[in-house]
Order: sequence, then structure tokens, then C-alpha cells
Amino acid sequence: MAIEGLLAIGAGIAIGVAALGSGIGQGKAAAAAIGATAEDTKNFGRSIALAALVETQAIYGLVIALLLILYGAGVIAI
Amino acid sequence: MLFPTEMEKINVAFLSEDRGKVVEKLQEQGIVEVKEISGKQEFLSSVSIDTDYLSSLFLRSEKIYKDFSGVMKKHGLLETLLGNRFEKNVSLKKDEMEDVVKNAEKVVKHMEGKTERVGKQIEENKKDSEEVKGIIRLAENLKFFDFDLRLLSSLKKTFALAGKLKLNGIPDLKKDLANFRIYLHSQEFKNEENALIVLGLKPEEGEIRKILLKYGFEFFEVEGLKGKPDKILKEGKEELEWLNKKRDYLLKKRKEFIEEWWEEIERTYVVVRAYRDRLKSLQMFQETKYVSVLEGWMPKKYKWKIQEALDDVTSGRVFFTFEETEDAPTDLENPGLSEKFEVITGGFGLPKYKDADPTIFLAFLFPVFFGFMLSDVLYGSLIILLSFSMRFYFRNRLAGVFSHILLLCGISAIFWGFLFGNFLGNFLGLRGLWFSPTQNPIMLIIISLVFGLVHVNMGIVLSIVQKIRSKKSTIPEISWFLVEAGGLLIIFRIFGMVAEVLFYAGMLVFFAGVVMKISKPMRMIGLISFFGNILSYVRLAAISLATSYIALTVNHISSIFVSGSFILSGFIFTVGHLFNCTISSVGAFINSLRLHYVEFFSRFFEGEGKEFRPLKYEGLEVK
Repeated sequence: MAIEGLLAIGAGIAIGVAALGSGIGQGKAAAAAIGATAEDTKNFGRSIALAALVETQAIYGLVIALLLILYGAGVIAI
Repeated sequence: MLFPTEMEKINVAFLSEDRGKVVEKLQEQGIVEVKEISGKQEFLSSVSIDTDYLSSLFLRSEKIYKDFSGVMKKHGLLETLLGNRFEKNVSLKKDEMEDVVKNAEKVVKHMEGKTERVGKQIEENKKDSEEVKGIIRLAENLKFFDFDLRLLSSLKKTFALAGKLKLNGIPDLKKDLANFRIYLHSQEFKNEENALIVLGLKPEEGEIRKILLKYGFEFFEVEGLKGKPDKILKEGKEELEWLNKKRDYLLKKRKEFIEEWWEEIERTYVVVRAYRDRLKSLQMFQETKYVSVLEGWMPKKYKWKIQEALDDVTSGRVFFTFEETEDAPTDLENPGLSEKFEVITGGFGLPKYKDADPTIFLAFLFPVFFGFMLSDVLYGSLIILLSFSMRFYFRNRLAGVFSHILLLCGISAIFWGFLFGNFLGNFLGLRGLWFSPTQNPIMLIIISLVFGLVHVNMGIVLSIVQKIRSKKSTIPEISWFLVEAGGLLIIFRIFGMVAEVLFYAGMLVFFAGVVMKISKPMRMIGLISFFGNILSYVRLAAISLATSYIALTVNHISSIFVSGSFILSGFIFTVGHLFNCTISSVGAFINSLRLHYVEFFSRFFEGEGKEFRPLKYEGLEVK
């Protein structure tokens, strides 16, 4: 298999697994955040912040995926 | 602007006979928050109405007002999010207010009586309807039996049971009941269930019931029913129809009554609330027989205004002292459109009185981040259209605030859209003024990280300013700069952009910063999260790219169908772009919010300030 194909698979796995984990985490955090906001609307800001905190892992996955794709396209050298 | 409004603690001494006039004046001015003074409380109200009585009157009028609001105001999704469409204050002359309070008891009593009567009738109607619905359900289950249900009434020596059972249980049940002297009649009706009638002898009833329960027999309460099921069903439906008509009539009558009295109850509620607030403040005064003292908070800039007003009302028999303290409540004060963003700052919490207010930065960078993530000229125009529609449809404060925020966000999206050449993706085929994100994603990521670096450092600078103001150590913040400066020099050297000597200087500065950081374990954690925070700004590029790619995909799919069916192609194009605009806008809004709340605020913002709540007329305009 050509290296480009392997890189594409790698990029897919990187973002796919990161997004899956992040999604599961965010689902739980968002459920708790909604509960907290329903109890008291003053919790809205902090709830958003905490629920969105988990997203960062997906961003890391995206960065890796982009680096792999750009490496494959010859834009960057590692 | 950078800090909340400067406040002062105010102490006012005046003659006790003037207290009614003083508190009324304070409420009229709406610039002083009265604070509790512990100690003896003894007061007379300016309207000679007892406080407990007024509080109870307020609660009663509030209950009616809320009940009426449910009928008078719309409660759709938009109203839930943005409040009532039309929000206007009750307008009254000063001398009319006292009349409203004096009449309040009469008005509230009248409405209580009327609403209670109608409410009771509606409740009874609901109860009757439920009962009739139960009978209809029962009759429907038994409609296959063509006999008078009175026959199922238990007699002295026999009993009768009716109910339903799953079809597959019947043969086994029959076997189990074979030794009893019973009459069993079953009729299949729906979902593989059988309606069942069991007649038997009284002494065996207990045993038979146990066996039936074992098979999951569901009993019907038929006691008291007269006539054939068909007839009961017909009569039940007729009665239900009549009850529904009666309910509609009662609701209509109630609505008419509420519409007739709405203005009266709204006026009564708002005025009674104003008097209650006034009396609550009055209770906080320290009083002796001849002299009263009040303590409170007020913005420093209104000092002369309050002095003039109270001098006037007491004919100069008043004494003031002012004091600056650190435990004052927070009143945010931002110029022009940035004021609208206070609601976003408030969503996280209010800064403490001495802490920095980040609203002014938020007002600039929130739309910038939003626009960067949406970055499409046409999508931005749609956001502006939404902003104007919101302003046109809703006439309340909250909707006004959000329409301004959306307006700025829309303008920013148009700005970035021109730079990146996005007009519904690549639909118009125009080139951007700067570069195309889909062709140069690395550039987009670099810009995002620069935004991150600037934004996080702004937070650190605010933290330093805040700490200098409160005379605390700024070493943790300064060490960030050392780490960053050293790190940048090292990176520049790697790319051959600076001389070797600067690399060593960079190493020195970097490690000095790291040593300052790791001198305490908690700071070490901060060092790791610092880089995580900056990397988090890559989301700006990620969402911007996602918006562009989805737009490209929509254009591509619709172009495939354009030769076959122009209507289908147009449909895919319209729905696709509306969908992309909606989800990308929501994503851009939430992520912009998050970058401020998590990455920016976490550097300096504690959000534990208490809101400045001056004594004023709420929802009331006194002429």
C-alpha cells in the first residue's frame, strides 16, 4: 500500500478515536452541565466551560490528523 | 471600563420623621443599595401600612400576576430564550401610586375570589373528564360482551370478575381453574389479549383471584356500571364531549376575565412590589426616636446627586459620610456597544469589586473569533438579517442585547469571509483578499495559535494589573513571560532566524521561568495547562475549515444534480447551506464563549463578585 494511503488511514484513526473519546466524555459532562443549569441558571457559564473542556482532546486528534495529511501532501517535513 | 464602577460606602444620618421621604427619594433616584444595619429596628412607614401585611399582599398579588402572565404572555421556544416580546414599564403619576396600594387589597381579593371560583370549576371539570375517560376505556375493553354490566355485580353467594389476560395464558388458566365451580367466558379483542369474565361462588373467590393474578390477569373495576358496554361507551363519549365544551367555555371565560383585569393586576403587582422593596430597605435603617441612620453602597460619581436630592427632601437636616472600601458590590460599566457583552461576562459570574472587568476585551474578541470560525460573507449576512429580525420581533432588553451581539458577529464573519474568499463556500468562485483556508490550512492554524498566544497573554496581563492593584505577588505571572520569551528565542534559533548567543540567552530565560513555575507543585500543573490552553485555539482553524469544507461539499453535491433536476439541485443547495450556516454559527458561538470562559478567564477571573442592586422602581415609570 502506498504511503499516502497509510497516512490517510492514520489520520482517520487519529481524529476518529480522539473524537469518539471526546464525544463520550462530552456527552457525560454536558448531561451534568444541563442538570446544574436547570438547578440554577447562574451555573450556565461554568457549565458551558466544563462541558466544552473535554473537546480539547478531539482538537489534539485533529492536529495530529492534519499533520499527517500535510506530511503526505509534502507540505511539511517531519 | 477596565474595572467595575468605583463605589463608595455611604452613611446618612437624618431625622427619624424624614425616613419615609428619604427612602422614597432613594427609590426614585435608584442609585443606592441599602445595606442592613444590625441592631434595633423600629420604624414607621410613609404610607402607614404594616410591613408583614404588605409582604403578604405582595405574595398574593405575585401569585395572581404569574397565573395571569401564563395566559397573557406567549411561552414559545423563542419567548423562553429571549423573554416576552413586548416589555414595557407600568407608567404612573407619583400620587396615583398611593391610591394603587390602598386599593390593592380590594383588587387582589376580588381577583382571588373570581380566579378561585373559575379555577375550582376547571379543576372539577378536569376530574370529571378523567373519570369519564376511565369509564370509556373500560367499556371499550368490554364492548364485545353484549349484556348489562349490572350482571357483574357481586351477589350474596356469587361473585363476578372482569378483566383481561394474554391469549397464550388461557389454556393453562382453564386447567388450573378446572376444579372450581365457575363460569368463564373469554373474548379475544386486541394485541393478543382476551377480555375475560369469571363467575363463581363466594367461598372460592380468594383462591380464584390468586390463580388469576398468577397469570397476570388485569382486573377491571366494573362495580357500579349499568347497561350494556355499547350504551355506556356511547353515553360516555357524549358526556366527554359535553365536558370538553364546558371546559372550553370556562377557559374562554377565564381568559376574558384576565384580559379585562390584566392592566389592573400588573399595575397593582408592580406598585405593591415597589412599596415592599421600599419598606424592606426601611427595615435596614438604624433608628432611634429622633435620629435614623442608613448605610449603603453607591457609585462614586453620583455622590453630589444623592447629596443634593436628600438635602432637598430633608430641608438640609441631613449628614453624610463617604468611605472607600474593598467589599463593595460590583456594577459593570462599559462604553457603547461593549456594554451589551456584559451579559456574556455575567454568564460566567461577576468580577469582584477590585478585580478586572474583561467585558471590553470580550466585546472585541468574541465577534472576531466568531467571524473567524464562520468566515463566510453570505452566512455573515444571514446572521445580520437574524439580528435585525430579532430586534424587529422582540422589543425587550435581552433580545436587544443579543441582536447587537449577533450584528457584530455577522459583520466580523463578513470581514473574514472577504479575506478568505468564502461566498457560500466557493459558489461565486471569487478569490479572497488574503488566502484560501482550504488551500493553506497551516496558515489558518498559525493564525489561530497567534490568537491564542495574544489572548492568553492578555489574560496574564490583566492578572498582573489586578494583583498590583491588590498588592499581591506577580511572580507566577511574570514567570509565564520568561517561559514564553525563552521558548520563542529557542524556536527562532531552530529556524535559523537569530544568532546562536540568543539561543543560549533564550535557554537561560526559559529555564529561569520554568524554575519559578515548578517552585510550587501547583504551578507545575499550570505550566502544562498553559500550553494546552494555547493549543486549544486550534479549534478556531478547525471550525473555520469545517465550515468551508461543508460549504464546498454542498456546492459539489448540488452541482451534480443541476443538469438532471434544477429544483432538486436548488433544494440541496438551499437546505445544505442553511444547515451549514446554523450548525456552524452555533459551533462558532459556543466555542468563542468557551475560549473566553476557559482559556482567557481562567488566567485572572474569579467571578465571585456580588451584584450591585440599588433600591429603585422595577418595571415602573413614575412621572
